[in-house]
Amino acid sequence: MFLDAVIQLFTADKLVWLNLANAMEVAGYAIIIALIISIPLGTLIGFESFPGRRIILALVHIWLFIPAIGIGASLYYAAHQSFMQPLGFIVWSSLLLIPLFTGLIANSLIDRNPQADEDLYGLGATRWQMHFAVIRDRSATVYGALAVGIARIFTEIAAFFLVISFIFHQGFPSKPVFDLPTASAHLAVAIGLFIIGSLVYLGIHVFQFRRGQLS
Amino acid sequence: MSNLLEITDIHHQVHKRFSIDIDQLFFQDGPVYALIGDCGAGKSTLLRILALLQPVREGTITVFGEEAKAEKNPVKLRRRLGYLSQEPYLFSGTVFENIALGLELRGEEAGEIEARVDNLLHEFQFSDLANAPVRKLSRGQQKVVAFMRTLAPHPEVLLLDEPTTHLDGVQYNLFVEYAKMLNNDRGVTIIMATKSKDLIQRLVNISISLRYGKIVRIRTGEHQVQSGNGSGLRAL
Repeated sequence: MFLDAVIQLFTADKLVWLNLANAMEVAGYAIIIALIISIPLGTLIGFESFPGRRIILALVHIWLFIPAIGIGASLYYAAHQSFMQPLGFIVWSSLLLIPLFTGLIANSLIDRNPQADEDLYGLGATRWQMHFAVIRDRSATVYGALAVGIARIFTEIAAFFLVISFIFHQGFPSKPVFDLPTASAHLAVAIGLFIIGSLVYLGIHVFQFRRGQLS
Repeated sequence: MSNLLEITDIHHQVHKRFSIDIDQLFFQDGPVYALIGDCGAGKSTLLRILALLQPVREGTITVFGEEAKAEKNPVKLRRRLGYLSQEPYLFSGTVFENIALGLELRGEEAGEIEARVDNLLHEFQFSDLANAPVRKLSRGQQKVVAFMRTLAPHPEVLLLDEPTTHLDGVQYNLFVEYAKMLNNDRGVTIIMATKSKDLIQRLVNISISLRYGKIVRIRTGEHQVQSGNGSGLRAL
């Protein structure tokens, strides 16, 4: 079965490549839009203390560990809304990505050695200089986290396009996903699982905050 | 002698059972001061307050005659001070880049940065390690790099938190001689937290003993000049 899938991938017809190209295009635009918003937002959460920061961080953490079915369900929903194709689909994907990237950037900054901030201020850094120097120092971690995020979203969108196409046509992709019919019953189950999964994650994070395991 | 640093009516609650309480303390231009006391006496906290890194809700800190406001980021005043933390953080990069950091933050020109860093590297016999990744160095070498980083911008007052921790014998002696030279020849006032009796004997003019966040005694050389419970001390 797996071998068949690999062979089909390498001997794929135009529609397979069309789906992959769609996936790459959607993911690419979504990543650019999401990065523009996530970099300043993640930096703000990573460095500053403000009312509501913990709640935002908890929500972002939930998104980081969001069940794949949640992403799949929302992509599925987006793909089947006539008003969302294809620009809306890109925007929707960006909205899914923003918390993911924000969380990855914020986490890689929160994990820094607090002595770095103090030493920079001690050396005469302004607040912006401190932010810049820390980001530069943490660049390997930040870029690594972003690379993981980008790889994840490319994989999920590409998998979504290919799998959905496979499911609904009982064969390897024969039709671009934007033309597929809606299956509302499956969508309801997926959304239900997504909500349950999110509540479980929220509970775990609230518990960790109270025990002081999360900043 | 003029007062370089002055703190008045400072009350800083570190945690429920520990606070720094000092009515008045002056540091004048010239001597080498030591903050001494057991672990948890408040030496590092007091040093961070003096370095304007620890905002205090109650009390006044005056640096070079100017009151440092807690709500503002007192960058201009901090840039006249040099602070070395107990376990300094070195940034990814080379020895040269780390030493140059404070100068870059002040917007110094590349030529000036190179000249000052090269001079320090030469003085501390680190020229061969200029391009070495700083995280490959021993802890003692890293401490020396952090000390050079603090010195590079030519601060008027040095605030050093346990500056000789991790140093080997050679590095320790080099530090003592360099600190003496800075104080005697260049007129840099030094305030350091230390537990080293040898360092106090060799370098320090005035020692301030702390216990539970309060000043309990001030000595100049072998001579005790003031003592009390931390209240009403108009010392130095």
